[in-house]
Amino acid sequence: MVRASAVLSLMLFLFSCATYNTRIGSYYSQMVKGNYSQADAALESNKLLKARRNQLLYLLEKGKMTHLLKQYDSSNNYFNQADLFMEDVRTSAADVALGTLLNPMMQTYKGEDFEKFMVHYYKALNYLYLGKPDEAMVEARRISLQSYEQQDKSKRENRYSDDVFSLMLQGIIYERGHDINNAFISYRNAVDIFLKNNNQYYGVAIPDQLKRDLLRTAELNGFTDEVQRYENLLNTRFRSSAPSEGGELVLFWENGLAPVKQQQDFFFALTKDGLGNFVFSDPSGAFNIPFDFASTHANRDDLKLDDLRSLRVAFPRYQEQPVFYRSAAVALNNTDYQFEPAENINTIAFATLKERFLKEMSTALSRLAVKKLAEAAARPKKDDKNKDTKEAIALAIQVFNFASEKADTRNWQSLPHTISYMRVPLNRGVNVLQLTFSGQTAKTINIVAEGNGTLQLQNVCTLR
Amino acid sequence: MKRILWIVTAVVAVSAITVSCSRKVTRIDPGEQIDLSGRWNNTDSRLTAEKMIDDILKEKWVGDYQEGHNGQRPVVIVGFVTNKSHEHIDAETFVKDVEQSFIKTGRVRLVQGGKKREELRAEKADQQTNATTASMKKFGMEQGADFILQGSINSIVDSQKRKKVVYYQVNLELTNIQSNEVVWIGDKKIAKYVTN
Repeated sequence: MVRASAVLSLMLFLFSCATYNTRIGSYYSQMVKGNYSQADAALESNKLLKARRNQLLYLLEKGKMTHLLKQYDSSNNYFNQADLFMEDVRTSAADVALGTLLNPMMQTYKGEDFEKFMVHYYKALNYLYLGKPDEAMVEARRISLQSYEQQDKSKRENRYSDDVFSLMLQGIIYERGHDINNAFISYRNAVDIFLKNNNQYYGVAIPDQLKRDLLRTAELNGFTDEVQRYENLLNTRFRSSAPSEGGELVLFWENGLAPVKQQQDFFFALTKDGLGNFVFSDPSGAFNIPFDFASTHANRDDLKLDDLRSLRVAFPRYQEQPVFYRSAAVALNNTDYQFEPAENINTIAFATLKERFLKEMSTALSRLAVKKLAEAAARPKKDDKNKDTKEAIALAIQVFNFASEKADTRNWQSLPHTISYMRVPLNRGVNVLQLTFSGQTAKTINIVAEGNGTLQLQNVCTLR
Repeated sequence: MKRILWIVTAVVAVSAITVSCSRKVTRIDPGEQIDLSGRWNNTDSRLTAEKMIDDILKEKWVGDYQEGHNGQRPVVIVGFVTNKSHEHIDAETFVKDVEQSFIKTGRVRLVQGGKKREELRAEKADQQTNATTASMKKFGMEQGADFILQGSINSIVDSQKRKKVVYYQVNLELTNIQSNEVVWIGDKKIAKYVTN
């Protein structure tokens, strides 16, 4: 018993129930306050993020933080490392073992699908701020590769198979690089996704700006048949207008913060259905989740229902970070311009977790069942000679299993809640745009853009 | 104890076998046909180039031109290949092969167009102030093209559930710049059936 208590206290020490969000709390709170330098320091001193399994999160957070600090070169250094990491990372044997025997939080973090797309957004912006348009074009091409990967991954319908914002961004980058033909292809691919989904995609309605961009680039390419086709499909008329003398500014507004993951406990019992299949069912009967033999490599003969009465599984759930500012508008030369929503990361995060719920829950439950089996196997039989020792071991395993059960609550938390965008025509020379945010309070900031006849991109962030 | 050990070892051992192995890279012949995704790839580009080269140099427009111009070879400029397909396709990969065949066979002369031509003119402009009078290249001495090669890429995608047919059509056409007469049209059609 002494040994068991020692193990118990050790386990409680090793596996705290704090979520990822609370464990990087100091970084997070400094970031929300806009104290980027302090946030960066907190990031550097955080031991959790320094763990090898969390390397990607460290790179993503560092990339975003250095971007906010306007250190665009460093930012791209981190984002390029993150990009390569996500491309090269494979599930290792150690990862599978750790995930099965401990919990998924101990596995290497490989990134959410939408996080992979967002890396290209920041990299493209950084390259443009650094005056490297050709490098930004590379990001436009990489968006295609990422999209193909995503499409191949989610073969089933009603899945997050494309990131429509990335396609819109890709079009803008191509247009910025005077590649009107590829810009048209990107805009058209984005419009087609909206049309396929009743003009609504993961919490974003088809932006009027996108319709205009598609028709304009189709016309510039001389694709009159496409202009007509999309005029009918989008129920809109193409209006040709002379390009503004100073060029145009595409302004992205990143508002709020992405949702954070919390831990949620579910209770299940393993049962055998009429066909002899093992299924986990919850008390409410809402879920019937099959045992995942493939991921655990458990043997069917070893599954003894008596040993697996009840299972508590910890599963992540998202918690929205409410936005402080509700809307924003730009005034330039007595004209007001309105933002249009372009990406709702909050909606995508909730939806994608829901989409993969069944598969991940099945893996999590099967993992737990294996752990429970180990616990049951250690329990002493009535006539055992070393009864006390075996009981202590069984108890230790039980405590270990209980303490180590934990949901993977990691995600890239400095991503925005939503991204909106607008396109503002510029005058030649210096343009001072008044950007007013409204919500619980109002705030006005000035944005300066040098009208030089080209297409420019800028982003502004409101992090609370 | 034995059983615990058994389960733990089984999990670790079996997972070690089934997880994806480390990355392996092998060099292959660029002419080898390997289709992975069903999207436009190097094989499509190569097949398009082969068909176009075959067509364009066999047709009688070269002979016709030479007959009317004291045996002089026609001068061609490559214009824009518009992409109207659903994918981002780089036309340069097969257009370059066509250009290369013009030079290699020696039946057609080629002049630079597009951005490269602008760069050449900028270089000439620079020479006006920075080069010696003897080595300076003059403006207005460029070789004018007789024909322009232009093209388009179109695609049709038909899919249902996990089956997909992707059809690409690449068209190239050669137009007499003086008369606007189209002297040659070539096409390459590629259809792929993809099942997931």
